[in-house]
Amino acid sequence: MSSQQSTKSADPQKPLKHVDILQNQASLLFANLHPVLLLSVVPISFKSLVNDPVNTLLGLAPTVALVQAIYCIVCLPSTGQTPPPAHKPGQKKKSGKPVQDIWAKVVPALLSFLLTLFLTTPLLYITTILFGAPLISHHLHTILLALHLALLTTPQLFYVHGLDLSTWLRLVSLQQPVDEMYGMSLGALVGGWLGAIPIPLDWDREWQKWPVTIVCGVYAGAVVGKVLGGYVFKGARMKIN
Amino acid sequence: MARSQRVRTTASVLANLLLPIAVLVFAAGFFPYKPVLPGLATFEEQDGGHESVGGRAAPVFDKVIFMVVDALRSDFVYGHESGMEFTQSLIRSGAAIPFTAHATPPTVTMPRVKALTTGSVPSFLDLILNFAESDTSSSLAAQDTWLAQIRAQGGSVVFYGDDTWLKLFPPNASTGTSFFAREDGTSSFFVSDFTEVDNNVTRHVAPELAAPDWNAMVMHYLGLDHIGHKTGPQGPNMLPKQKEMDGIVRVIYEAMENEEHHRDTLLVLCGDHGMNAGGNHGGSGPGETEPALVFASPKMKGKEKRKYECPTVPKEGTEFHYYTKVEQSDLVPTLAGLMGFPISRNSLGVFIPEMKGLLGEGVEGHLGRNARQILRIVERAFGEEGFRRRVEGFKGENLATGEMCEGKSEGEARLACLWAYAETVLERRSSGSKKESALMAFLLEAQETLSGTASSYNIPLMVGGMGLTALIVALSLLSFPTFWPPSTAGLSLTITSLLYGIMMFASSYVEEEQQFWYWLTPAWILLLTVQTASQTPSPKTKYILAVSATAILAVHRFCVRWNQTGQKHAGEPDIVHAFFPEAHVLMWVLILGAYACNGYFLVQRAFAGLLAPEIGVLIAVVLEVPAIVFKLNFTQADAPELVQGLAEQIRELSKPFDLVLQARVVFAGLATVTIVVVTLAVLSARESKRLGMKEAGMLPSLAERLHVLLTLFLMTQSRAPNVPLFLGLEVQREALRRTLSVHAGKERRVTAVALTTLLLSHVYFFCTGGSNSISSIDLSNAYNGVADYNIVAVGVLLFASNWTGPIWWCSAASGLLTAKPSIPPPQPKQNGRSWIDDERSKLHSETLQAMMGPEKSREAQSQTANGVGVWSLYISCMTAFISAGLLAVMAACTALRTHLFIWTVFSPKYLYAMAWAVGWHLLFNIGFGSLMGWVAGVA
Repeated sequence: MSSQQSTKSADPQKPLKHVDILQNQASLLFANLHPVLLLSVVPISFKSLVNDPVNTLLGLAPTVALVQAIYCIVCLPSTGQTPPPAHKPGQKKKSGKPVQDIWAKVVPALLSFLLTLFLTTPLLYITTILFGAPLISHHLHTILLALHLALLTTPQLFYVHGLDLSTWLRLVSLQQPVDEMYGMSLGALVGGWLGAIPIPLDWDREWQKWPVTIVCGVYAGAVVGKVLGGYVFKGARMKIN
Repeated sequence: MARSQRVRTTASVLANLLLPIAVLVFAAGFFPYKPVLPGLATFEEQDGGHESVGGRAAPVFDKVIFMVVDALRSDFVYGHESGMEFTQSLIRSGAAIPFTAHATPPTVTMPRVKALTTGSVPSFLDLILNFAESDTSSSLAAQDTWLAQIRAQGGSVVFYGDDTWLKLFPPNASTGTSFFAREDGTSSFFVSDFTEVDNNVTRHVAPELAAPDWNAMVMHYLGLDHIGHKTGPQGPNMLPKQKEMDGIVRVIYEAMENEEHHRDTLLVLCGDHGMNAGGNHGGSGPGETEPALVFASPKMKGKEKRKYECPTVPKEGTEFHYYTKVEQSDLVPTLAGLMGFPISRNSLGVFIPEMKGLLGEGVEGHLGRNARQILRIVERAFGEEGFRRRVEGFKGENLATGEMCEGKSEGEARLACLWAYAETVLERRSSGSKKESALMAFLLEAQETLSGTASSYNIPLMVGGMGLTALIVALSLLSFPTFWPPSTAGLSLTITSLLYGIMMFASSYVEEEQQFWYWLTPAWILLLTVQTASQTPSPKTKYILAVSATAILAVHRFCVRWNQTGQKHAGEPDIVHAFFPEAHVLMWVLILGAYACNGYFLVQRAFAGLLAPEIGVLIAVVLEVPAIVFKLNFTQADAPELVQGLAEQIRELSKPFDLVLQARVVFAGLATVTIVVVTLAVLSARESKRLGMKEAGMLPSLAERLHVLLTLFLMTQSRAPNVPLFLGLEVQREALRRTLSVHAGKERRVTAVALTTLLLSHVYFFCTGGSNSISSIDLSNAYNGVADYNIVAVGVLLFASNWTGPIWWCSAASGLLTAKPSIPPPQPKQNGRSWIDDERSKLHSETLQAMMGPEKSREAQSQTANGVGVWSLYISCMTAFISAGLLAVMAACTALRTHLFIWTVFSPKYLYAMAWAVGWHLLFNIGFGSLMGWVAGVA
C-alpha cells in the first residue's frame, strides 16, 4: 500500500477533504491528552488483563467509551457541522444558545455510541472470527475484544461522517483522505492484526494467551494511527493500485 | 526500467533451469553421503595380531531370536502401567537385562533398522531413501550387518514381520537366492490394522521354535505402532497389545527353557523407536528416541550379580529413561561378542559393559576387537597416516593415565591421545581392568565423535548452492518487466517473501509455519477486495465484492480448523479428528456433495459444447460412482471409525474387487475421459475457427475443462475427511473469479493472482494436515492402484496426496490466467455456401449457446490480454518467491548447522523446501501450466 500526498481531490464533483479537529483551546488540549490517556490504558491494566481478561476488558470499556465520547464532543465537528471560523480578536462573541449547542453535540455522540455498540461490535466480532479468533471457545473474550476494537474504531467516524453511505463506502475502500480520526481507526485495525504475531512463539508466557496481545496491538495501533494520521499523512489519500 | 521481452524470457528460463541444480548442490553438501566400508569384517583384521592378549572365548550363544516391536517405548515394558508382566518378572529374576536404547533421529523405521543391524548412525539421506525404498544404495545387501555375519559363518536367518526388512535385505541379484532361509513379510499399509499384521508374524512362532535349523530369527511386530498412530499411547488397545506381546515373550522363553536345541538361545526384545504423546514419531522428542531393549535367556540367571527392580520409575527429571541408557548401535558389538562373530565394519557401537558377566574372560579380547574395528572408521574419517602420526606423537609423551587426554581438544587430537594410551596399556602387562577402562574410554569417545554430524557438512558445496540460489533470485527479479510504480500486490508479494525468509530462522515459526499463512491470507484477501472496490464506482459491484470476500474468509476460517497441525498444539481437537468421528453421516453427506459438485462441473464445464448433456451426465455418473465406491471402501480399510457401518450393501457388492482394482478403474476412467475431452476440444475449436464463429471464445478453455478432471483425481488422492474441502475450494475460486473480474490492470491482476495462489496453496497444504515435520507425510494414498512397487507411480501419487491443495490452486490459477482466444472478426457471408455448411454452423452455434449463458460472451470479449506476457509474469512472481524462500531456508540451515534442532526442524524444512521448489513449482506450476498453454495453443 503506498500513500501519496495529494492536496487536490481526484473527483472534481465531490471535493473530498479531510476533517480537522475543532480549533479551540479545550479541543486542542484534549486532542493531545487523548492519545496519552488511551496509551496509558494498557500498561496500567496489563497485569489484570493477563490474569483475568474478561473482567478487565469489561471494566475498562466504560472508561474508554467515556474518553472517546469526550474526544468526540470536545474535539470533533459533528455531522455536517463545519468548524466555526476562528474568531477575530476584536469581534464580540455571539451569545448564542449554549444549551442547544451542547445537545447538538451530545445527541450525535450518543447515536455514534449506540451504532458502535449495536452495529460495529457485531460486525467486528464476525471479522475477528474470520481472521482466526476462537470460534467455539473464548466467546466473551472475543466479544469484548470486538467491543474495544469498535470503541476505538468507529465512534469518531460516526460522529463526523454520520451515516452517509457514499462516505462509508469510501471509508471502507480506503478512498477517504486521511485525518486523525480515520488514521486512528485504521491504526487500531492494523495494530490488532499485527498483535497476533507473538501468539505462536514458543516462549510459553502467560501474556501470549488470547486476546492480550491483540488488545495491546489495538491500543498501540490506534494511537500510532492517530498521530500519523493527524500530523504526518494529514490529507493524504491512500493510493492503492 | 522496462526490459525487453527477450531478456526477461531468457532470465526466467535460466532461473528455472538452475533451480534443481541449486537444490541438489546444496543438498549434496548438507546431507553428506557417508561412504561405507565395503566387505565383511573378519576376525583376523580385528584381532590385529594381538590374539594372544585375551584371546577369543567360545560363543556364549549360538542362536538369537530378535524380536522387534515397532514403537516399543521404554515405559511400555518397564513402567508401572505396562502390560508386560512376564517380561517384568524375567527382569526381576535376573533372566533378563533391561536397557533404554537411544534411537538417534530420524526416528522412523528404516533408518532405525539400519542402526540396529549395521550399528552405524544412518545419515539423514536415509530418510529420503525411506520413501524411495527401491533405491539400491539404501539396501543393506552389500553392507556388513550382524545378519550377514551370521550367514558368513554358515548360519541361516529366518524373518517374519514388517517388509521393510525384505527391502533392506533383498535376494542376491546375481544368484537369485533369498537372503533369508524362510520369510513372510507384512506390509504396514493400513494403520487401522491392529491384529492382522501381528497374527501374520505370530503364526510362525511355534513352528519356527520347533525347527532347529536356523541361527537367527528376526520378528518385527507392527501392531503396537499402528495403535500408537491411531489412538496414541493411552489408547484402549494399547494394554491388550502389550499383553499379547508379553505372551509371545513367554512362549519363546518357555521354549528356551524346555527345548534342548534352544539351550544356547538369546532373546533380544527391542523397539526400533518410541512414540510421542500423540503416538507419532520421526523427531527427537522424549519418548520418540527412547525405546526399550531387553536381553533375555535362562542362562543369564545367576551370571549377573546386579539385581533390577521392575516395574520401576524412570530416572528423575526424565519421562522415559529407565535403567542404563545405551545407544541402539551398541547392540551390534554386544551381539557379536555374545555369539562369537566379528563386529560389523561400519558399527559405531560399544560393547555394553553390563553384559560383561556373560563373556567372562573373553571381555578384554572382545573390547580390543571392538576398539580396532572403530579405529578403522576413525582412521578413515581423519586420514589414516595423519592419525597414525599423531598417535605415535602421543605415545612419545608416555601417558600415565587416560585422564590426561581430557585436556586435548575434542575430535582427532583427543582420540589419538586415547588410542595412544590404550595401545601403551595393552603392550604393558597391566591389569585387566586397566586395559578395559582404557579401551572403553577410547570407544566411548570415538562413538561420540563419529556420531556427531557437525563435522560432516561440506561447506563449499552448501555455499555454492546458496550462491546459485542467490543468482536465481536475481534472475527472477530480472524477468519482471518493471518494478516502478510498485503495485499493492507486488509490494505484498515482496513483504510476504521477506517475512517468510526471516521466519525461516526461528525454529518455532518453522514448526508452526501454518500460523503465518493463516494469518496473512485473510489480510491479503481483505486488501485485494478493498483495492478492487476502490476501482469501481458502482455500489452494486462493491456489494458483490463484499460478499465474495466474506465467502472466501468464511471458507478460510473453516479450513484453519480442519486439521490441527504443527508441533505446539498437535493433537488438539479439530474438525477431522474430533468432530467427524461423531458426525460421520454429515461428513459423508459433504463428501457426496463434493463429488456431486464435481459431477455437475464435469457436465457444465468439462463437456460443455463437446457432448450432448444427456451423454455428459451419463459419463459423469460413470466417472463419479467408482470414485465414490473406492473412497468408501478405502476409508473402511483405512479409518473404519469414519464409516461405522454406513452403506453396507455397497461395500458388500464391491467386495469381490480389491482396492487396487477399484483405484485402477477410477484412474482408467479419468485417463479415457481426459483423452476424449482433449481430442473433442481441439476438434471443436478448429471447427469453430473454420466456421468463423463468435462462440469460440465463450466456451471454457481447455485448462478449465481439464481442471475439473484434475479435481476428481485429487479427490481420489485425498483422505476422506479432507474431500469436503473441495467444496470450499470451489466456493473460493468462484468468489476470486468475481473479485478479479472487476480488478483493473492486466499486470497488477496477474501479480494478484500469483500472490493469491501462493497464499492459498500454502494454507491448503497445512490445513489438509501437512506440516514441516516428517511425521506428517501421509503415505496412505500413495499406493492407490499400485500393486507392486513402482517408484515413479508411488512418487507421483505420494506428492499428489500430500500437495493436493497446492496442485489444485496451480491448475485453478492457470485457469484464471489463461486468456481466451480472441474472436476473429465475423467474415462476410459467402454466397453459394451449401446448406449443409449452414445447417452445421447453426447447429454448432446453437449447442454452444445452449451451454453458455450470455454473460460468458461478454467476458470473452473483454479478454484481450496477451496470453504469453501474462503467463511469464505469473511464473516470474512464483520463481521469485520460491527462490527467495529457498535461499532463506538454505541460509538458516547453514547458519544454524550446529543448532540443537538442525536435524529435527531445519533439515526436514529443507526437504519440504525441495519438494515445494522442484515438485510443486517446477513440475506443476511451470510444467503443468506450460502444458495447458501449449494444448490451448494447439486448440
